[in-house]
Amino acid sequence: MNSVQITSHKDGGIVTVYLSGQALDASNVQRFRHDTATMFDNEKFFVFVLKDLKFVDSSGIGALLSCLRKAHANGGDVKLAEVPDNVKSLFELVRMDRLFEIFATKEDAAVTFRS
Amino acid sequence: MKILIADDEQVSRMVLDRTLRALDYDVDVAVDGRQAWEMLEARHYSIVIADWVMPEVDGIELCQRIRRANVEAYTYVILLTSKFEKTDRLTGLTAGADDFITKPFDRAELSARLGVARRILRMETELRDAKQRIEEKRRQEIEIGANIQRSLLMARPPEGATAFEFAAMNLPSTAIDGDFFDFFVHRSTVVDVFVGDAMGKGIPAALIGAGTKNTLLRSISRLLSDTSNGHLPSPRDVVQTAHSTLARELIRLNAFVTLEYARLDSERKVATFVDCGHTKVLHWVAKEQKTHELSGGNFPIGFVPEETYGQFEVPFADGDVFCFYSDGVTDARASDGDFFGSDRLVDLLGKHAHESPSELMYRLREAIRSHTSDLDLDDDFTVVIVRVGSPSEPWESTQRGFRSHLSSLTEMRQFVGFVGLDCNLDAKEIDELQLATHEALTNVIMHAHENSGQEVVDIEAERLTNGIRVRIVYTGEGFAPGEVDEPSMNIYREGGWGLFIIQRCVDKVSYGTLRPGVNYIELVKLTP
Repeated sequence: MNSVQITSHKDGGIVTVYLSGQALDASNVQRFRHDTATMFDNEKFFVFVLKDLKFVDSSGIGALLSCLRKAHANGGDVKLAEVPDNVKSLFELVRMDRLFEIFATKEDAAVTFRS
Repeated sequence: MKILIADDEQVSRMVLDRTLRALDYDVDVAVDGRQAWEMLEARHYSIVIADWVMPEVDGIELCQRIRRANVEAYTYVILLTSKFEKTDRLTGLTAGADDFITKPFDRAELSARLGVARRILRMETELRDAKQRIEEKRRQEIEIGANIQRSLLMARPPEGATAFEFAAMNLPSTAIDGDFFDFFVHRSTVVDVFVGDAMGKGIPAALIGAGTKNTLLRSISRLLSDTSNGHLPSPRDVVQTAHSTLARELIRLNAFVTLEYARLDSERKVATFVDCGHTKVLHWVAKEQKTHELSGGNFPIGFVPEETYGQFEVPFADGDVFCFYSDGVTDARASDGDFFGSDRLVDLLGKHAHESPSELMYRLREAIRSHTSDLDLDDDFTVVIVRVGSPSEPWESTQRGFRSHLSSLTEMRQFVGFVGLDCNLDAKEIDELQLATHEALTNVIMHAHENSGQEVVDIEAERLTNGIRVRIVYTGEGFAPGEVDEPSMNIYREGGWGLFIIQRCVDKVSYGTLRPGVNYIELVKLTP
């Protein structure tokens, strides 16, 4: 199964999470939810880097929103960076760009946590 | 201008409240830091006056939360303190406080400090408005540029030149670019192809590109009407004529255009090229199973006022492939700075030259996308692929069966990508068709077949004169949703966007039954 590869890196209280893979979609969204389940327990501020994620579908959106909910519940936030064009179009279509802040680079996203 | 007071000492809270009201401010009051934070989460306050020392959430913590919240409008924070050591103020400033007032406070001083706050907030608002206006303008400009690009600079592969098979694609970069291409069909066996790139970026480059393309088309038409004996004007003459109109204008504008003008004649089996400083054309020679890089020696148009253009001829045979591309392809960079380069392009062409131009194009697009991670397209990406020989029966309809399981989705999307390209959809249209089909297939796999992997789903594609019809045929329980409204978007939503996405990404969706127990979902995607 092609699951989404998740690697993360913490720097100055901000966790940068790199997602890569063919897709975040119905075929692997359960696995993704499982893999990210405890990620929000001890950290608050996240930047998800999506540049190596080729495709996202509606169930992928649900999973990303659930990440956002968990972060908010802890007084934190999830920001998105380096989002591929096709994925960005989808976010705009379902108005998800109103819930997530989307930045051109991960540095741009991280700066907004620090300021 | 709304002010929030956060102070756990009742007397000082009351004095502050009254003083501010007397100064005509609109005031809300919180009895401690925690309540203040709740109120701040519920609405925006321009100014917060918070006591430094409070239980649980103190003034410093409150300040830090406000700064982290990253809301659009600024909140000016004044900390109330009875301690005024230098170190304390430093802590407050680091936490994000804007000013300090020592208790007990002096009414005149409070009023003056609020005056400062208002002045700063006003400047901040003006700055934010200006920034918004600039961003809006920039967004509009990009949109205009993208529209110019789609409508004026690019073309769809020609119909009527049946001795060849074509695929063309342009992926615009974020900065508008001056890439353009077009075709001119003389007869079914003779077609002119030209691909160009106007130097520079933004709307100026796009307009110069559009102007050049237009001039080239007019030059062909004029020369054709001048020759009545059935001879075609040579490519050299076409470029020379366009040059005579364009060169001085371009020089005056301090701009130039690189151009590859080609005529492919499948009666004589000869290709004639006029290369004006453009990237090399790749010629895959079927007989040799090898790719040649072709280039000529003319200057770009607009380099020099007087230029006599030369042309060169290359023989070809059935099965050969020509690939025209802009430097945006080879210059596409990975995040580590590695260029896609011409070697990768030559390699890919060699491996897949036997496939249809559309399939080849799809592979190239995927290769570029994965190389650049979809980012850093500094330049436009423009590719035209021509394969010699009547297309191996252009399919009117085609179909493929897949195991009904979520793990087949990637392969299914790829198939839809191929057939979409074959029907001349552009990059964005293909993305949309793939997304809509994916959502529909997910519904079928999950609901009709419960992801068992035992059933088969057929994807049928039918070519339309202006688009494609994709039909998903499946056994089992059918479903037909009614009207789908735009889902309200909020953070608590778990799903339910699928049907809305399908409806918005294609031009028509219908659900139906072929025969008892066999149902279908039909998606139609039209090209404008």
